[in-house]
Parts: sequence; C-alpha cells; structure tokens
Amino acid sequence: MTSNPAPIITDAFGHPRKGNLSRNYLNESKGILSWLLTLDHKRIAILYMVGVLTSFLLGGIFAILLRTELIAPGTTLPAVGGINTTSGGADAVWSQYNQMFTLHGAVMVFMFIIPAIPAILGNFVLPLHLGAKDVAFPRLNLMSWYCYMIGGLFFLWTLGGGLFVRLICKIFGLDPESFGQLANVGLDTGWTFYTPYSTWTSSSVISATMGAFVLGFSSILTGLNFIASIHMLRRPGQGWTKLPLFCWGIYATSIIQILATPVLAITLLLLTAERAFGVGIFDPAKGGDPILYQHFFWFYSHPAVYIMILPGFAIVSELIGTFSRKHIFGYGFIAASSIAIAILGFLVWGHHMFTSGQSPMLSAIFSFITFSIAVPSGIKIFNWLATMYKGSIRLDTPMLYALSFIWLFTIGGLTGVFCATLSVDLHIHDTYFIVAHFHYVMVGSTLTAFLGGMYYWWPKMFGKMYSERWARFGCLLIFIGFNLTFFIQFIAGSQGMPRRYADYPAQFHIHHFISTIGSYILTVGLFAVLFNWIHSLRRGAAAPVNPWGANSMEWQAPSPPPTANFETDPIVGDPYDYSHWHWNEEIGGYVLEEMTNDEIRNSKQ
Amino acid sequence: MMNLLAQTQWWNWLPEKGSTFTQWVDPLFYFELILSVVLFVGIGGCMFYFAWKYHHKNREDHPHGSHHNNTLEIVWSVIPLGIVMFIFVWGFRGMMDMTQPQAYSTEIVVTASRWNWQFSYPNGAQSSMQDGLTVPVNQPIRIVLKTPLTDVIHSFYVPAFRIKKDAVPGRYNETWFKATQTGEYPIYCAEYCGQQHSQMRSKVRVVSEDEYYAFLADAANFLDNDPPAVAGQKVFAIKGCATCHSVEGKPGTGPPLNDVFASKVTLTDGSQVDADENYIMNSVKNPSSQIVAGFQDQMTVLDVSEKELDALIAYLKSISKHYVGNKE
Repeated sequence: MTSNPAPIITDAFGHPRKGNLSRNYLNESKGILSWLLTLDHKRIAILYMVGVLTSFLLGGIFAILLRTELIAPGTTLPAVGGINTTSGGADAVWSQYNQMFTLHGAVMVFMFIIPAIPAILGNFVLPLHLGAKDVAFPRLNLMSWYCYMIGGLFFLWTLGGGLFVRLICKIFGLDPESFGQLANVGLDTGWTFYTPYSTWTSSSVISATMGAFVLGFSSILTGLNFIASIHMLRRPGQGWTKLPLFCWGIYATSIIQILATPVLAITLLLLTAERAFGVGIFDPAKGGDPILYQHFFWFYSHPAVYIMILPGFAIVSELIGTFSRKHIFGYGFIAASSIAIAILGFLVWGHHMFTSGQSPMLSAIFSFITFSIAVPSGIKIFNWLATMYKGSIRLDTPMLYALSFIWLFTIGGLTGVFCATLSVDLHIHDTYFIVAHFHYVMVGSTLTAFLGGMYYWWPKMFGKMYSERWARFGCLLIFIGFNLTFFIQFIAGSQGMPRRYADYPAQFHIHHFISTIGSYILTVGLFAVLFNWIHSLRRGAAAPVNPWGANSMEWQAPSPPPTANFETDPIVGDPYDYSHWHWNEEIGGYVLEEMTNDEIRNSKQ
Repeated sequence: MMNLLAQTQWWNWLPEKGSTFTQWVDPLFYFELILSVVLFVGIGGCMFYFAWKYHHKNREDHPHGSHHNNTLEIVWSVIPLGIVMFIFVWGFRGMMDMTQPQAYSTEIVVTASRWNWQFSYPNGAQSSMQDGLTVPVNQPIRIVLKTPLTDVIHSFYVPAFRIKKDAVPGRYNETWFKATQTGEYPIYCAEYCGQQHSQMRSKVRVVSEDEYYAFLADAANFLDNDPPAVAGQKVFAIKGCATCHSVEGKPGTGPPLNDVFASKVTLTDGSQVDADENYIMNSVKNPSSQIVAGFQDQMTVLDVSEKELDALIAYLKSISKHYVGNKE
C-alpha cells in the first residue's frame, strides 16, 4: 500500500472530500496547553500513549538489566551505589537484582499493561465504535490521565527520591536518618508487596503503594467512562448485538476495573498505615496476619490479570474478522465469554495461595473455578479459528500479530492448566514455570495484541501508512525473541528453578543463557517497531479512510478524524458485514457502496 | 555455549524422582504436557493451514460462510470442560495425599529465617543449612514449618520430592514426604525473602535407617558434651549467623564477628560500647537496640536458649584477638 504514491483524499464513499482537508484532531489547535487541557478522547489517547510507552521503555530497561544479571550464575553486573549494604560485594549485587525485578514488575504491571490497551486504544477507538463525538465524561477522562501521571511521579520518587534526599543531606550536612522513610531508595518487595517483607524492608514502599493507589483511580475512572459511554452513547439503531467485539471486551474489562481496583486501593492504604504508623494489620509481630494481605491483594490482582488480557481478546476479535473478510464466527459466544471471564475472574484468587497453608477445601474450590475459566478462553480460540475457516485471509501486519497472539495465548492458556492443577502446582508454584506462564499471557498475548491493535488503528490515529516490510520484520523478531526468552523457562521451572533468584545453581545456566539471548532479540524487535512508527510519522504515505475494509464505524471517519470525529453521520450496520466495502486501487483502500435509505435500513437488520 | 548444551539433560522437564509424590505429580504433569502438545499442534496447525489454504485471491472477496453454530459451540465447550474436570479430580486426589501427613511419621521441625534453614530432630539434635536435613529412607517424615515472628515468609521447596510449603511468621504450617531413594537433593527457598533469597539453599540427605540413627546420636547433646567454644561454633552454624556475619573480617549484611569480643564497637548514634558478654546477649535478644555504625536494622530475633547463648559467647571469645582472659 505504501507503494501508492499519492492517494486521493476521499470520504468513505470514495468521493473527493470537500472543505479544509488538513484540519484534524492533531492540528486543530496548537501549543502545549491545548494538549494538557484537551477534553478530546483522541488527544487523551495520544497523551496516554506517550506516558505508557515511556513506562514501557523504563520497565524494559529493568528487564534487560535483570536478564543480563542472570546470563551466568554468580554475579554479572557491578553493584551501583551500594545502597542497602556497606560491603559492595555479592550481597550488594543481590540487593540490586531484587530492586530490578521489583521495579520491572511494578512499572510493567501498573504503568504499562493495565493502561496500555484500554487507555490508548480504548480511548481512541471506543467512541468511534459507538459513532459518538467523545466518551460520556470527557473531563473525567482527562482527570484519569492526570491520575496516571501523578501515579507515575510517585513511582519516579520511588526510583530516585531517596537519592535526592540523601544528596540534599550531604550538601547541608544533615542526617538522612532524620528524614525517616523519605530517605529510602528504590523498591525491593516484588510487585506484590507481600507482607511482612514490605513492612520491614528499608526501601521506598510507601511512595510505590501510594503511586499504585493513584494509578488505580486512573483505571477506575477510565472503566467508569467506558461503561457509561457504551450504555448511553450508542447510535440509534446500534443495539447491543451491533457492538463491535472490541467494545464487549472493553466493557468486561471496565467491570473489573470498577469493582476490583478499590480493593487494591484499600489494601495498599492499610499497608501504608502499617508502615507509617505501626498499625498491626498484616504484620504478625504487631498482631496482624500476612495471609490476610495475600487474600486482599489477589482479590484485586487476579481480576487484574483479566484487565490485562480481556482487551487483548477484544482487539484480536476485530483483527481476525477484518483480515479474514468473513463475518466473525459465534459473535454472541465471544461477547458472552468475555463477560463470563470477568465474573469468574473474581472467584479464583486463592489459586495463588495453594502453598500458603490455606485449607485444602479452599484450595479445591479455587482450583475448580479456575479450571472452569478454560472453557470461555477455549471458546474464543475456537471461534477465531472458525472465522478463519473458508475466509479470504490477508496477512497484513495486524493479522500477523493476531496469529502470533493465537500461538502465544494457546501456550499461555494451556500451561495455565498445569498451574491450576492442585498437585502439580505444589511443585511448580513460585518457579520459572509460573514466570514463563504469565509472561506468555501478559506479554506474549497482551503486548502482541496491543502492537497488532496499534498497527491496525495507526492509519486512523495518525493518517499515515507504515512500511509493511519493516512492520512484518519487527513482528517476526518479536515472535522469535519472545519464544526464545520464555519457552525455555518452562523447562527450567519444571526442573525446580525458583523465581526471584539473583543467583542460581549451575544446572540452570543453559536455560538462563538462552533466555537472556532471546530477550536481546525481543528488544531489537521492539525497537524495530518503534523506528517503524517514527518513520511512518515522518515519511508515511497518507492513509485512506478504510485501508482494511472493516465495517465498524471508525472506518467511516476521515484519517485522522477531525475533533468531532465524523463529518457526516456514520451508517450503523453489522460491524462484521464487510460486503458493502469495495477495494479501490487508486485510493489504496476500501470504499463504501452508495446505498439507498431502504438498503441501509435492511442492512441494519 | 557447546559446553552448556552438553550439560546433563537440560531438556528434561521434571527433575529426578526422590519421593512417593512423584506418583501423583509426574504422570499428571506428562498427561497435561502431551494434551497441551496435541491441542497446540491442532490449534496452531489449523491456524497455519487456514492462513495458507484460504489466503486471499482478491481484495474484493467477502466469503459468506456460516457464522453461527450452536451445536459446535456446545461441543467445544463441553469437551474441554470434561477434560479439565478429569484433571481437577486427579490433581485434587494428589493434593489431598500430599498435604495430609501419615500417622506415625517422624517429626522434624524446620525453622526458616533470613537467611537460614534450621532442622530440629525428635531427640533434640539440630543440623545447619550447610549440613542439610538428614532423613531416613522409606519412612514418612512430617515437617513442621515455622519462622520467627519478626521474620518474613519463606517457602520450603524440594524439587525432587515435588513438595512446597510456605513458612509463615505467626503460624505453623505442615507438610510431609516419604523419600524413596538415598542421596542428596536440593532444598530451595521458593518465597522471595530479601537480599539473600537466592542463597537460602540447603539439601536433604536421605540415608538408611542405621545411618540416620547414628547421625541423631552424634548430633544430639553437643551443648553438654562439647567444650563451650566448640559447641558455640556449631550453634553459630545452626542458627545461620554466618549468612550475615562473617568470621573472616569481611563485612556482609551484618558486621563481621571475629575480633569483636572485648573490643570497642561504634553504634549508629556515634556512641561506643564495650563488646562484653552483656553486649552479645543484648545483640542476640534485642538486636534493634544496638545497631553497629554502617549497618541496617534488619536482624531477626531468633529463639536462642541460655545454654546456646553461653556457647555462642564462648565461641566469639575464642575468635577474638582482643580477648585475653580479662575485660581489659
């Protein structure tokens, strides 16, 4: 498509557009304030994109550092600073490693995976899918971005605030001890903040928990906005069965965001109270119960896993339909399975605690419900395959990501069955098997779906096409790098390699070595994507209205859309009926056939 | 690289078999593995086949295949449900056996602390992290797991036995196993516990019954039988003091303890104290009260008896060049 030198700018019907063609949401107004105070859902999506991708870079740097530390047994990286120890020996390196895996996990979970798809693609696409001008509460939407940024500042303080305080103390000759916990540096609790370790450690736990607390509000507000939008802003004629599956996935995600996140907020507040004021809630030395913390924490954090994966399903359902050019198979089952996963996801948290000493009866119930989630997950995969069956499949970059998703999620999902099995989990719990399993689901699946979604909607977001060749190359590198990094970890884990080990017995050297090499390839692939995007922004050919021939309403809006989204009222139809779009070589995209009012009415039924 | 690949059996999934639990975990694990491979090949195969077979001929195509089939949906819901319920029951039965100790087990108390495993046997004998846990072969062993109140959560994990159980401060946990082969098997701490989490490794020594009783007789009553300084060295190892306190003058997580007795110690508030018997006693029983300059307040309060304390003090005297039989 990039070979097409000068596409004609047209509307959805292939007519040359009238009016000021260069006006769109990106250049509607200028200046930094026009962005920081914007209420436009598309601009807020771009703001989120900058924040979320920066966090991804930060989390990725920690990942590469910790993989490098693990390339060989013993110590690999030099210890920097010697914050938690005076010796500067191996124990300083171990402390440093503990900080790296914690910060990697915390940044990736709270600042990248949870907001990535809902806050960027959800914000951009969802109102367009509804044929609306904006989300239901645009101001709340902007506020959620500010919550995200403030949460990010707390995380930044966790990283470097203590060093700053120590520096000030050095200059003015003060005693850092007198600043109490403000002088603490970094975070070494694991992203799970398990008590009583998090009560006792001298790293900067309070700033991190408060950061997660504020980030939680960003998540709640986004979810609230989407639920209200889907209920209230659908176009006339767009019944619940005319919603794209993307909206169903985001709807299910939003339910979890609203109902589960407050529990995390309360839990982290209690933890903060325990650290700051010595209130005994979770610390047994103060009369608390550390297992209670685990129940509270996983009551949020297991549903949060579905906050991460459901939007991935949502994107892939769109991609598979569009690029098979065939009506999505089992629409109702895919939509209902998202809701079923959202509800069942609340009832399985105890499967993180099979070895904690909870009663076998409790473990059995949690295991049973966990297994039942295999059914709605399987339904999705089978329906996607059935959609591809006898389709007319195009292997453009978004579709390559969708196929990669099916591959990786199948592995992630099937290995989840091992983890849910009571007896097997006693062996593999807290080993690299678990690490590999959740990376296949969270990174392999969610990240892949996110990148596929970004490539799918990129022409709509920025009005530019990208180099298809480089995009495919990036996708391939990511796929190879990812599998190389994480598949070997299943073997290491089932052999008994425990998680969160800075050092390990020599028998696991080969596994870690391969894994580290894979992570470097994965990194190169991700940078290939980044450069592909930057190249597209600078040099990309202008995008047609509908490069893929999809029938959800965003593809009737200009690329990129004006601030009010649509120039004419979009036609509501079955989002998976592609028969009215016809390929136009001259434009390099699809155009909608002209229909009489009667035909439009018929197509709605 | 080639050397690494030549290593023993790195491609194997489960580790060596050391206990009766392998009869629960291993067949089920391999059943799930084979099932996963079959399903994965099926799903991945369909995906690639469809992508190749139905590759688009024309961008105009919009095939009108069926997009709804309730029978099919029910089939691919009910069959997976049946399979996972079968796995659930199999896993449940295994878990019930793996978590309920048998009657007439030998009971061994395992105390996890930062960063040490301490093993206490029925006759009062104890063994250290370095020496490992010694158990008789073919006998049920009940493990009582505990960790001091001021410590953090650890997890007792023996991959060869396929067991894992958390040691949680403020409560007792239990697990059990019956070793089937003599030999040595690694013990790992599987719950993140801080700086030296990855060093919290020990081993299980599975020996014949005769050897086990010989070991018990040998390891018991050393506090009464050995000279105090020698017994103190053993206590130093058993309590795991050495993970943080070197006796070669190298600072670690805590200050080194050679040449400390009868010296002057500088604390974080700048004051100096004499390192005498009272200082040692106070540092063991209430470690937060006297933090040595340059170190953090993070020592766990361990359960140390009076006899053990006497022995420890005698040991520290014996490794201090400052101590010459009088206070100064």
